[in-house]
Order: sequence, then structure tokens, then C-alpha cells
Amino acid sequence: VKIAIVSLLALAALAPQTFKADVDAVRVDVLVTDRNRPMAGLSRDDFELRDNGVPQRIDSVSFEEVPFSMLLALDTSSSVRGPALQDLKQAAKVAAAAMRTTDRAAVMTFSDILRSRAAWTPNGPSLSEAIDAAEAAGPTALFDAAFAALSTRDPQPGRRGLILLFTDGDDTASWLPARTALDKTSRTDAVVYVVTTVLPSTTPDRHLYYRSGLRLTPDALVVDRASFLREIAERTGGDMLVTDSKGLPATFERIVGEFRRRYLVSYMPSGVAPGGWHDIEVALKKRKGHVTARRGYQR
Amino acid sequence: MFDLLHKHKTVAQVILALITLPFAFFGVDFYFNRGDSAQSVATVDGKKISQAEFDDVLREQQQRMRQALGGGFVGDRAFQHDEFAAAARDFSDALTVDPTLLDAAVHLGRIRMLEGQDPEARRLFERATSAPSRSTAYLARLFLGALDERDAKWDEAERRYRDAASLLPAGQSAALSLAALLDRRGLAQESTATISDMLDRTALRPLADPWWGYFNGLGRDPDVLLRVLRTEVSR
Repeated sequence: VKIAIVSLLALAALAPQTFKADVDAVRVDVLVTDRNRPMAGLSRDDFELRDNGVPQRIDSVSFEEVPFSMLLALDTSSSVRGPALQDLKQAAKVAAAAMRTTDRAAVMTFSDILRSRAAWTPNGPSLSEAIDAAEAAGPTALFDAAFAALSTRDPQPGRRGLILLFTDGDDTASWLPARTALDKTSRTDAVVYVVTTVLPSTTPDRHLYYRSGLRLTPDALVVDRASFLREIAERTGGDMLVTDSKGLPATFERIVGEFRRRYLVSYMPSGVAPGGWHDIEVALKKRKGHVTARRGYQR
Repeated sequence: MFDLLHKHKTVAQVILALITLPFAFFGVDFYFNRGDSAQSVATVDGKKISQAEFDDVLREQQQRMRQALGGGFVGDRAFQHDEFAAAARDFSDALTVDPTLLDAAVHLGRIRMLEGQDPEARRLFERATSAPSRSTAYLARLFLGALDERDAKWDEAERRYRDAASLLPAGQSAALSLAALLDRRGLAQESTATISDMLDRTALRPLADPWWGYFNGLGRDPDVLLRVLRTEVSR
């Protein structure tokens, strides 16, 4: 056993060289739609990409080739109890069933407690059992959960990251401010799809009672009135979908299908400063279509 | 007894409010003996109720109260300036009556932090770091770390968060704070490892975190408050 551990540690020590190359390249998950349907058949020559306004040479574009790892981050606060929880569990299983054999999933549930239900695994009985074990109780630490979800990545390298975040309401228990999770979106290439059963309010009810009152900078607002769910989805190039609990299985399945039909565009940034914030703009050349991608990244 | 209460009407009112409000909204302290989730805390109709089951029901009850009362909830009113000031006065009075109520120091410190009175907030949090209650000392460290982080004193903030984590290794808020700070500092792998470690531990057994019971406030030790009340009215 000792030899095995030493060998693993030795392998782990070699890992950073491989990782560095991965960090230097920028990968952007891009959804191209025509009349709300994913558009297939595009190649590298169909895309143009700017990094901080500077045109970049695209090294590769892949479609349906790179396996993905999906984190199911599920709100299991007390309001989800009852039939809604059954619908949610069914939806999670449908999402897992829609994966290919090379894809993997993990399950995290959250109320005020963030809990890992299943580690990264292909679809199978252990995933179903983990989903079935979820129970609904307690308030909702949405910001804490979003930050933890954005920080959770499959250790297998090269995979695309999908976070399917379900919630049925506003944050009522987080320690971290919303800004922590929003800032984290600039330091991950995972795509967040938010599914909610409650329409975001136009006049957010953000009582300080539900907040720790922490601020990341002296000029930050104590109660941020931005639409957290929409913002976190849009920053990562994902989407926010609203449905009732009966519609959850179909919505989850649609998300997995849509995510698979995204393009993975890779490039090595050139002509731009290495550090700081980088705006990313992706567009199509000489073709019509709606392009969705993350807004940028922080280095 | 009633004469004494009448003579010390203001103090009695403050203390009674501090005792009854948390009870009205939260019931008994749901952190009391929270450590062992498998231990039974009561027997109802012959069925033993475990700590975990009790916690779940209580959290649900709290959530219902919050939703039902909306803007009328005491914590929400505290956000409005007048009520905020009133809450600060109550906590200040409580500390005057019994300086060992360091839970009140944390609450008052948070209000001062929100008001932008950082030196006073720091003084109160520092005072609470020596609280015999690990929960109080833990929260005091976390708030101090948050103030340091906000002011870009990242080394100090990291030390505070690690101190809090060492005080309550199962604390979720300390792990989240530390992970978020490491990520801000560009230490993404360490941040991810911190979250991964936290989630691995919760997979085995739910973590307890004093933040979840923060708004129970002084109500979490009613015996102490009743003792204070008795002492005060018997003077």
C-alpha cells in the first residue's frame, strides 16, 4: 500500500507541468443557435474571437467530442419538500441518463448545509442512489452553494464543465456575499445553467436578515440588488430557465442535450496583457446565428 | 418581585425582550448540544427524536416564520436605521448588565461593522474572541477576518479564517471564507481543495456551523439571561 501511495504522490508531483499548458490555453464553451435550436456543422473558419478586442487565432474547435462533467447542485431546502422533491429527483436522474458513457456527474445538495451526495462518476446505480438519498429541510444558502459549485471540478483533466444549478427561491442563509460567487465565474470555464421554479422578482426582497453583511471591498453594497441567478448564468455563457416542478425532468434533459451541442473553442491569447480581466467576444463569420459564450476571464 | 420589576422597569423590559423575542421566533436553542446528531434529545409518543431530526424541524419552522412574517421580522426591521439603532442599544445594554455576554458583543460588533464604525466593531469582535463559547469565538474570528479581507489585509484575514477553522474544524463558514480568500489570491488549487475537503466531510456527517444559529442571538442561553434578570431585579 505504501508503494502505491508513494507512486501516486510521485505521479501527482508530475501533474503541474501538464496543468500549466492547460491553464495557458483559453477554452470557451460556445453555443450557436438558429431559431432557438443548436446549430451543428461549424468549423474553426466559421468563428472569429477577440480577446480584449484583439483578434485571436483559434487553435481548435470541437463539437460533441470532448466528454463533460456535470455537477448537479440541487436546492433541497424545506420549500422543496413533498412532490417537488420527487420531481427534482426524477429530473436529476433524467439528466444523468442523458449523459454518454464517457461523461461523468457529481451531486451536491444544499439547504443551509452544503452536502456532497455523489463524487464524480459515470451514470449508474450509485448516482441514482445518491439522488434518492436527498432530503429537503432548512433554509437556502444559495450564494454559498453557487461558490462551492463553481469551485468544484472533476479532477480528470480536459473535460468540459457543466453546472446544473437548481433552486426554488432566494438566498436565506449564506455566509458569503453574492459577489463571491459572481467573482468566481471569471475564474472558471464551467458553464452554469440555472433552473428555477420561481420567477426572479423585479424588486428583489433582499433583507439584511438573510445576509451576513460581509463586503469584499469597502465600496461594495451590503445588499446587492443584481439578479443573481441570471447574472451567474450569463457570465458563464449559460442560461436561466424557469419552469414548474413538473417541467423539471424535461428541462434538465434539454440542458444536457444543449450542452453537448456546444462548441469548445480553444486559443492561446496573443497580443494582450497576460494578467487582469479579459473580455471575450465570439462571433460567426459570414453566417447567421446567435452566439452565447462566457463574457471573459480573469488571470 | 413585582415591585422590583416595576422599579427596574427599563432593564427588565430590555432583558425580557432579549429573552422572549428569540423564543418567539426560534423556540429553544438549536445549537445546544448540537454536536452529536445521532443522540436523542427528546421522546415523543415513545419515539426517540434525534438531534438531527430536531434540527431539521426547527430549521424548517424558522424558515416558515421568516417567510410568513416577511418585512415584519425583527431582523428585517433592524435593517432600518431606527430599529438598527434600537437593536444596538439593546445589545449594548445587555453587555452593560453582564459584560460576560460576549454573544451580544458579536451582534453589536456586526451592527457597528454595518454602520461603518470599524474600530468599535473590531474592539467588540476582539473581545469576543476570548469567549468561552467556541461558537461565539468562532464567529468573532470570522467577522474579524471579513473586515481584514475587505480592507485587503489578506494575510491577516487568512490567519483569522484558519484560526476559526481550527477552533471548529467542522465549521462550514470558515471553510467557505478561506476558500474564497484563497481563490481571490490566485491560489485556485488550494481553494478547490478546501471546498473539496469540506464537501467530503459533509458527505459523511453534516457539519454544524454557528452561523446557522446566529439570529438566535442571546436566546441561545436563556438560563444565563434569566439569572441576569434575577440578579438585576433583586438589587
